[in-house]
Amino acid sequence: MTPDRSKPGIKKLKHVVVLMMENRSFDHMLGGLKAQNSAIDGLTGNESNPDTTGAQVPVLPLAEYQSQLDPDPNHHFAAVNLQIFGDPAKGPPLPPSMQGFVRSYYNQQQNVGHSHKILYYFTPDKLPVLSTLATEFAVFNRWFSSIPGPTICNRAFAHYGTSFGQVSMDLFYVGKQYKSIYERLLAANNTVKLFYYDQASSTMEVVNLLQNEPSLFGTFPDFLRACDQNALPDYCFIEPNYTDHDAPDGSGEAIACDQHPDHDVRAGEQFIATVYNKIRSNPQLWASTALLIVYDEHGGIYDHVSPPPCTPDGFVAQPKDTGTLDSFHFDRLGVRVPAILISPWVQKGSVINDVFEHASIPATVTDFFLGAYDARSPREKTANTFLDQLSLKTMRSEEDCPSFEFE
Amino acid sequence: MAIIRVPAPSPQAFRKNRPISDLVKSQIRHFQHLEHKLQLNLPTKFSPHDLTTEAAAAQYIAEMTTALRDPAAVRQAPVPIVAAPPKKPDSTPARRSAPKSHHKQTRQSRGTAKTTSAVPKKSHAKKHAPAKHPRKRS
Repeated sequence: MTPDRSKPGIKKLKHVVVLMMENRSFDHMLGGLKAQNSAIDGLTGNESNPDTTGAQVPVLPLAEYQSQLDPDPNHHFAAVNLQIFGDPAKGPPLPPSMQGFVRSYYNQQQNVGHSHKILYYFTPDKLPVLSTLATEFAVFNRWFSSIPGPTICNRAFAHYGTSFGQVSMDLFYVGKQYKSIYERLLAANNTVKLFYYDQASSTMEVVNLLQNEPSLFGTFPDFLRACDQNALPDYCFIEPNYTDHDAPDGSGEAIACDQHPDHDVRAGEQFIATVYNKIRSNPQLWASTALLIVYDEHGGIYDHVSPPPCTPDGFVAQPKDTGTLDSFHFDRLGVRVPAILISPWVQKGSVINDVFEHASIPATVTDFFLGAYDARSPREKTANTFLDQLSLKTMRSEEDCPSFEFE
Repeated sequence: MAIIRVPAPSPQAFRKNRPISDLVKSQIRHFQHLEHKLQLNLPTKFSPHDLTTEAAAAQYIAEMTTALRDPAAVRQAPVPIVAAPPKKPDSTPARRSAPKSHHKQTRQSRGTAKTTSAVPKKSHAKKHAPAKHPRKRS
């Protein structure tokens, strides 16, 4: 929905910042919030999956920060078919029952007990940053990954509004018919930047944007400086640190903060809090910025909401690419992921029930900064936009918005 | 409203010799594609089968990223390698396996959580900074 530009929050808006984390499902991270607010479509505690012995295994609030989801749960296309439809080789017309997560995880180690951990979720007290932001600002009940598959093709939807037919992690070159959101904005004299964590973590957009548009990129310290100096670009996309490594500049250890299993989830909580605090601590920036925190895909971890159909993308992935018996027409979404919209112009405790996916990101940014723009994928053209949530008549006070302090 | 306290990762959370995930393997494959396509001469000569840990992957990725952002940086002749693989996947922080002297300095600095409500104290940076920590292990 196009935002009402007469609203004060939209009039003030100058910056959109997107932070995309890694590989966690909505229920895993935020499902426990249903106990606090029934409008949040989380877990009742009665959800379950069968294991390979036929026993029904319930969801449990036993998620740990690290060392629990090892090996990394499979989330390639065929495995996600099993998780959603109960069959790795087939999708629709099978019903999306969401009953195959435990069996999918069992396939990796043949360990029945370990396979149950794919149903574990965090209680809100264990994720104070994400839980607080979800309840203090706007949480999306229906933000789905764009593809029932892995990272790189899903992230492509955030950059291009399509993955150009890609459903895997394989290398691909983008088609010329659709420009990235960054190229569109630059052509209209807007400012943009992709901030990766550092040179050693870099970006997942290697072959296209980094090769061809290296000037689009900055580091996370560049982002922090831009916030301090009121020099934040109009649109910013932030990538977390994907590996534990020694910082290239010798300044210390850089711990992975992407929350990809088996990285420590607390490092990601601190990273999210750092981005939020940095924007919030600059009054000028805080009043004029919308921050979206979203995860690229579910990482093979359980969620109870069946992904819905969507507008076909115009591309077709063949069975050899999906690893199933079916070709894929990009006509259904992937598993639900956490997504939170933050701004002092957002009503506290908002719960958004419309369907969103990663194509909603370039759709929203294009709509706000450029207006009508035809050369976009069918998925992006029909994706919902989210800035209408900046709907308050007056900005929330300093005291009404949370801040975070690191232990 | 009250300030929310955020727990720090455990001291054992940093495991740079952790085997790389499928995600990072893919990222490396994409960089290797460009390395060959563009015939880049990185400061360090990496053997693909050595890029098995997060630390080794990060070293390669850093050099490739620098090369793509600053092509002049790869005009020097390659020097023989490095990036030794770990003896085994471990659960403790490990030593750096590549000489730092081959690294091009980046513009990065220790800039993580220095905000009004989230200021990491230098003496406790390992606990406070969300991602970058002073080296406490050699």
